[in-house]
Amino acid sequence: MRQFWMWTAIALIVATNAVVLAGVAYNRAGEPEALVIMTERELTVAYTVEENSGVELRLDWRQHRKWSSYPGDPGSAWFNQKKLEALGYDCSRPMSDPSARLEYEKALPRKAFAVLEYEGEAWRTWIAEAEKDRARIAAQIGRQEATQKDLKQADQELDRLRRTDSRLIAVDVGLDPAALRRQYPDRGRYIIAPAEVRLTIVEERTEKHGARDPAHLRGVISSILVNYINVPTELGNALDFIRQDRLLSSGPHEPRYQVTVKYGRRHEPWIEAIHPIK
Amino acid sequence: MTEERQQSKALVNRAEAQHRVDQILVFREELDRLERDGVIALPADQRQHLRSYHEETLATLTRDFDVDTTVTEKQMSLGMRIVSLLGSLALAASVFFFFYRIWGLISTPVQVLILIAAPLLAAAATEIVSRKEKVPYFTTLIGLIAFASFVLNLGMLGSIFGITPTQNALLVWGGFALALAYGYDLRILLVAGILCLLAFLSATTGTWCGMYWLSFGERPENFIPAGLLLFAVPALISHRRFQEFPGYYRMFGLLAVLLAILILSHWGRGSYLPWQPDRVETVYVILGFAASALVIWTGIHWKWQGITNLGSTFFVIQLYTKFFDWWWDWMPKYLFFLLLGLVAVLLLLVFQRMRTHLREAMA
Repeated sequence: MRQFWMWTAIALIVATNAVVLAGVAYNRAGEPEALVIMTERELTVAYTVEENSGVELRLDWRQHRKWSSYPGDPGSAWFNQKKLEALGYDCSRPMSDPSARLEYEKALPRKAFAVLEYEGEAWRTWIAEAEKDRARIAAQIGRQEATQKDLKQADQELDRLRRTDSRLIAVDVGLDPAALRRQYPDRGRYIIAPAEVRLTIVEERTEKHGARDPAHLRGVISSILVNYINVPTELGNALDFIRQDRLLSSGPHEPRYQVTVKYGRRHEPWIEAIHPIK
Repeated sequence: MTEERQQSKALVNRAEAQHRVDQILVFREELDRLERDGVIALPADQRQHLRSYHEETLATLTRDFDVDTTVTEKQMSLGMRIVSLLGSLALAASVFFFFYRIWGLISTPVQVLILIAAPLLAAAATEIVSRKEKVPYFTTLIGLIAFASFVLNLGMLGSIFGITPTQNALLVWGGFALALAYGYDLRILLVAGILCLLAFLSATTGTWCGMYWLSFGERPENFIPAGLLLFAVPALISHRRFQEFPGYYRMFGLLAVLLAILILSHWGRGSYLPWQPDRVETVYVILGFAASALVIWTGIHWKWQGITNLGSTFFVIQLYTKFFDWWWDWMPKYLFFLLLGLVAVLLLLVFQRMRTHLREAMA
């Protein structure tokens, strides 16, 4: 009887690893689902401890332009009630109904697929908006409606957007990755990755010019499920200078390396190449 | 074959053998007392025959099962089990940290090879070590390392190849731990297996309700059907060869259920029920008291002592936490603790009365 359990344990190890490795082979077989060349701005070296000799890159992506943004930020208006309903959330009851509000507050996260756009229209729109904000603040200084500090902050935001912040921006979500790929066919610019999404309530707001924005539902991508990508040992040497250069590692700075990332049939990523940027 | 050897062979495992030894030791003590008090006086030849029989039985059981025949041996065995457990945990941690230290220095194929080989070798070592000892001290050590290696195996493959997390890993880990537990009579691995299965069942229940599996903790109710299923395992699957295992299933199954109810009695917002949190908490407070009382009754009825204690503990915790919610903010502290003490006295009186009633009913 003991032999039976021992062989069961061994068979479990062998079978599980076979299934896992078969899945990896399937993911990486054929043409990649996406092939994107990004930089340190989008793939930063993940924090690690000295005990860990491995290296991972963290996928830095954004949904809102401002770091202090709330779900009601107009930049994420695409993740509206209609999109939530497409993901399976029941949003039919009005916000004025107290029991409906409770239901929305308690809504659970779901799995979906997020579309991440790299250095595309969304990023250029953000830069254009930041430029408009800066121009507006500059004009307001003359009328003493804004300060030099406000202008400096606007300059810093614009500079970060142009030079150091991630250009990987979430632009859509859906349940069917194939349908999303048909809608976003450029495999060199759009990544379709598994994500966790949540429903949130945007509370009623009164704009500066007096218009009321009633309470409504909005979605948020709470996480990309595979957010850390392992750097194969064979490519790890390309990042040695990063690990040695501790001073430059902290704080915003120009990107120092370029990374070729592929996504496979199961929308799971791997790193193909890393090159320093001279 | 002598009669003692025949009896020894009739015993299925060490637990039964230890129980037999304990019976013999208690019998000897009681017989001595009866003889001293003049209640009974065995003829010399019968006393000698009895003593010889017991000595041979103890010797056979010690040889076949390595049982403890004295209090000192029992204490040492307990100490060895604790040391075995702590050693296992330390070695398991060492396996994890060793791999983290070296994985960045070796190629991907070698990483995969080491990750797969480690649990295989540890499982084989568990079998080899178990053949050399009757009491599984070192077997526990190696078995836990095998389990830790398997967890590391799948966890690291997931990191290396960017695999989307899935709850199926919990099922596989649980199955592996249970295979070792049943193969080598290892309690610690039984607990590990039960906990993995509990997590898997709870996560799967959560996905059936539409949520992403990693967030299954956001709804404690996910643990209730999982806990009940684990509680029912001994009733569904016979454990004649593993007489101590059913207790673990019942204990952890009920622990999951009672803990979920306790949490929801304080956090109504975490419930699937579409009601206001206050109402949900009231429902779960009542359910908590009812469930605790039912668990106590079940433990008494089926003579599962650990279950009775579990029910009593949760009953008291439920009561005290509710008192805290209701009175702590406004009641003078001395009065609050006085009330807690008086409630404890009241509960003692109630349990004493129940105990007397049960004794009379059995008489």
